[in-house]
Amino acid sequence: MKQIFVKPEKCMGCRSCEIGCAVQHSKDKNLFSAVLQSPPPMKRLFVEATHEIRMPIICRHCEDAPCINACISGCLYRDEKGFVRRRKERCIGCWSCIMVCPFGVITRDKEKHIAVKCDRCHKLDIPACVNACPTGALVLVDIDDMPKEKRLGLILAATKREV
Amino acid sequence: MEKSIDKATLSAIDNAEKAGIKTVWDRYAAQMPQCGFGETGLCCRHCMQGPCRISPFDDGPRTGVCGANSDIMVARGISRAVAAGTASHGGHAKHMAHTLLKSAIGEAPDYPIRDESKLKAVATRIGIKVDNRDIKEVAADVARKALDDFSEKESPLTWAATTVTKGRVDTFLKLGVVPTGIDSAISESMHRTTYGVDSDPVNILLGAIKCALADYAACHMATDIADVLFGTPAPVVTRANLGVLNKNAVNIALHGHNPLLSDIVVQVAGEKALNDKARAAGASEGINVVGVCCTGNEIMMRHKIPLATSSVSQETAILTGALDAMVVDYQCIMPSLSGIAECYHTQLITTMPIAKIPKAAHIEFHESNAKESARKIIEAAIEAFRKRDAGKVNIPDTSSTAFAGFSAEAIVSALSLVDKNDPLKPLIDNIVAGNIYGICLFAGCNTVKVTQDANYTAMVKELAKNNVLILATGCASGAFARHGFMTPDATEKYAGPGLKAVLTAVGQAAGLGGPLPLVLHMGSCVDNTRASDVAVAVAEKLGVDLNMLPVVASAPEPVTEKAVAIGTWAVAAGLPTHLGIVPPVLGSKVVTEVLTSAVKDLFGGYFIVETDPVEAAGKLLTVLGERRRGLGLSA
Amino acid sequence: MRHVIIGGSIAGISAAKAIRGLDAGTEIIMISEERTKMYYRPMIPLIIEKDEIDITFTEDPLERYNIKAVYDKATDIDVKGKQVLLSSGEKLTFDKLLIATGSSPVIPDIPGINGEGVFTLRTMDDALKIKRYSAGKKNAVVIGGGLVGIKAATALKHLGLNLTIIEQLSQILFQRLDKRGAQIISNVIKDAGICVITNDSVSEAVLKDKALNSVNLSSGETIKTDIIIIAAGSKPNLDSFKKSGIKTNRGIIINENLQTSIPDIYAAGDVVEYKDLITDMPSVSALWTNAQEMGSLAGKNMSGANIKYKGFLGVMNSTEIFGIPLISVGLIEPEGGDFDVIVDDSLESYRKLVFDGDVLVGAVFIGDVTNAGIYTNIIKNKIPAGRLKEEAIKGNLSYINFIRTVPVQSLLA
Repeated sequence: MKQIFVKPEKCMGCRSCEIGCAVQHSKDKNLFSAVLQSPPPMKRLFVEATHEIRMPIICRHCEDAPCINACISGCLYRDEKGFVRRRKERCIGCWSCIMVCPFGVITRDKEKHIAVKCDRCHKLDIPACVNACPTGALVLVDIDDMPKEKRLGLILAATKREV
Repeated sequence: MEKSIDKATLSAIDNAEKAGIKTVWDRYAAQMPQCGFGETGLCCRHCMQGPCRISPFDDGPRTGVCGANSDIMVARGISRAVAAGTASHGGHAKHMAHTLLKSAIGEAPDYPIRDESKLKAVATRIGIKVDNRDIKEVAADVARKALDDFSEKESPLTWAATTVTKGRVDTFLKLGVVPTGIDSAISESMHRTTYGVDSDPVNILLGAIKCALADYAACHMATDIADVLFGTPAPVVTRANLGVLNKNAVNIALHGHNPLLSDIVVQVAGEKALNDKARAAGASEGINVVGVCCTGNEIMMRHKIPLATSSVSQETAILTGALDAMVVDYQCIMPSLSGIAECYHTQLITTMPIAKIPKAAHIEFHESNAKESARKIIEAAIEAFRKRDAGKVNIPDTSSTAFAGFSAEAIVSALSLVDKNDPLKPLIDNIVAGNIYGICLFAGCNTVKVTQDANYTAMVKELAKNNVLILATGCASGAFARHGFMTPDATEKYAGPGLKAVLTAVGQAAGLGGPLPLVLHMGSCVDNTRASDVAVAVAEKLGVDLNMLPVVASAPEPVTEKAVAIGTWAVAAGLPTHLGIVPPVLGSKVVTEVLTSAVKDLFGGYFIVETDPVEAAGKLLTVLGERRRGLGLSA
Repeated sequence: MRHVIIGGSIAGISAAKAIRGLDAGTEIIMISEERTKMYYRPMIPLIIEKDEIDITFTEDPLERYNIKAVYDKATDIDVKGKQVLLSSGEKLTFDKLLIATGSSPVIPDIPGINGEGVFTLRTMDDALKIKRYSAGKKNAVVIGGGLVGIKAATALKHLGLNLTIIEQLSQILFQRLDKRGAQIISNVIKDAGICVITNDSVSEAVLKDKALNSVNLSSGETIKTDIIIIAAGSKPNLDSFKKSGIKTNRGIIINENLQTSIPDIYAAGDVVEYKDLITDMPSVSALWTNAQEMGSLAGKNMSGANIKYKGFLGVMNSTEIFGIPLISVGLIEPEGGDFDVIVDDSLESYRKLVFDGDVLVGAVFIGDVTNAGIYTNIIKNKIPAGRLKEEAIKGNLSYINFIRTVPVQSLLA
């Protein structure tokens, strides 16, 4: 399974990934039409920054996904590729997923009153955010090809909690 | 996307790929993805509290640090592009005016007054007495009046006020967009777009139009003085495309914009001593000068110098392996040239103190001893020729015939062969009768964002078929020349019946034995006012203003800030103006709306953005139809 | 090995899923009183107002996890004989048993509410009955201003009925929202045209010609009504096990492995009594998310795992009421103690954070629920806020704040 890895040290905070994401989730999938679209398309990842670090916060498509567990309407599910996706028509806007997502990557579509989240661009070989990143801060990695130690190292490096 | 539809260009790109040399198209691919904030005009670096950017999708902050919203940000950005474009044309025109003055006072012996009648016409137009005066005195007065136009004056710019219709002057005065100095207009634009000055997007855009009118004046001045110093263009037949390089000659490409350099180099290149030197070095056919980009247009129409290539494909001249020197002045000269020249024997030579490139030879060009500098340049080219690697030479065997040099004067003179007493009458009569449905001026560049020449060629076929008279300048000229559209054959092949009949009648009267070319070459990109002069003359004869004429402009493949400035003054002049790529303004609904719609109510002109060339031609035809109906003509 | 699960809602289904995930071959039997296809219980109010809505599981858990269903009611458990007694008289033996019988509506003792036109809202069947009965009716009274009552009222309002919610306490959404939050939502509900009465209760349902006519309130007021929905809270379904010897209090008492006092019998969901993470006191929860978590853990432990359950957040609610999203988590209305309560009450949104020293223990979001999950996570895991307290107060808390900083040198490398 290919996963998106974030390399914060390469992130310039340019938000190109956010634009790429919003465009990919627009009607015509083209920047100029997307800009004119009303209501505007929504991004599914969020470039955030502290004084020391900046990087896009992305959906991890968690193994034991809190959002799927909390979903009270059968909207959120894991697809055959392992991505946490929505059945849009099932969402009733109860925001349980927002309440439990520890990454804060699920947002509200205020027009349609449904939850919006990363679909890992399941129809594309390379997700729009990865494709839009000019510096290689977002990369697509096949985790099956990665030695376990390296995986652990990356996870530890990326998730050490602030105390 | 294909890089070009031009076989010669593709062949040169192929040479580059085989040699592992990166070209503009590779660099464009390497820039992907380009930044969406930049593409929509939503980033601002005007102060050090920034950079700021605003998402085009209603999320994130709605203003920059200073409080500027998307409308202000986009308006400021586009306004600065106009200012930069105006600075380019202003620099070009000022260079001309200084040289004219030096010529008049005897400090530039290599630049005599070549076209006295043009000088007198210009002088008379701007209110300088010509009768019974020494021509040099007149030239000095014209030059001084030109230089006066750069700084802040009490009165409107001479080169704007005396060259447009009365109706335009009134409109500009009413809207408060009359510039009183070219440099001061640029300065004002920079001032009002800096931190915390003009925060009304519509007011900023009106400021941009004011600056663009200064650009118009600068362009007109540059053309006028170029004609005075080097002669007003008249039709010539030459060739265009990379096939004009000659493997048996020392090939020198002149690239850039100002004829002050290129015209002199061409004059000197014919000297026997230099040609002997070239032959002695092994070039059996002596020296072969070719043009690139807009200075190529200048020497093409005045000296029949063939045009090798233009803007986006400038690197291809070197990639033939047969170019011995690339001599450049300023504007549109890619810094990449020095790296590509290094892969060959080609000597890149810079000539202007304000435009140097590391690793290029710099032979500074001065008005006081221009020919001497030109000779040095040619000798450097001959030296480079000695190092040419025959194994790397690969000149595409492709070039087209091109008729060039249809200045306003040349068009009027051709028309006067049809009606001696009233030259404009045949043109107006045919517009009225519908044989000429309207006029479209193609201008602008080639861009990596569009398959090179694809938009030009697709649009010209659609418009010509519908009897639209086509004029072209700058790299639009280059595109049409490369593909054989500047020939009588193209008229036979593509013109609608009405247009064909008119072009044939004028061509026959002019003794061509056939029609005029389908696309009339009006000069370089600084020469767009040649086309507006024709439009102004027609409008005044009809007693209407420019915003009523069935005249449109199109920049289907634009690149530069100069193109933004030209497009803006074309709109202010009342012309519906097509752009074939989306300018960085979509981030602001206000700016987009003003430029494509609201500006119409103020000036009559407006921008039409359409990336599909056939659709674009259709939109222009619709607009021409509206304008015709407005004048009570059949549409 | 035979796993028997009593109860066919989310705790039971989550347990079955967990068991199946660890053991492909084991036998799983689920006893359910409801014969309908398995469905998402929190969605039932929508059935009242919408004609075409599917609230059933997209993939039938029975098929997906290979569960054998027994549609019956468990009446008792023989803990020694390891058998479940069914109302049909049959007995079902088990190796491991999960009690996930959920909870039932509390029916207040009010004269006249046993007749026609009076409903509770717990099952899909209840919802369908309300929908059918409400056709052509004009007035409805909802007893209880909790989430179920409000959702029922919303649904009936959408059908065009005149609605009155009667809440005996001084605020609606008691224990789900703090006082100020409840006031905001109460205004939202009133703005939508629903009458909200607090500090009052129904003393009597009045019949006229054998049909429901009105309700009398303790205050003396009379309200015309055609329908009464009882939404006065819920209580664990314990009746079947009272005699079995399984220890119960308010709910079935479990240990941290989710085992009852009988080792091979587990319990999960609304029926249990366990530790509230905030108060550390035994408590019952009637929340979907908690039931899901408990069911999943119980299933794993029944299959041999040994995962400790830390407890639940008694308050962890999210919903949208007439277009206004709200989320409340943890301790939202502290009484006594030394708490640091920070409130941001603007026109667009309301945010309240309750800190116990350095630890965030409660949060309320109304209007803007962005990033609420990050707050839930630190409340649930008791992560000290440290220097992030400021960010949290400003509403700027982001996951980025929890990521280890990257040394500047690595940018240059």
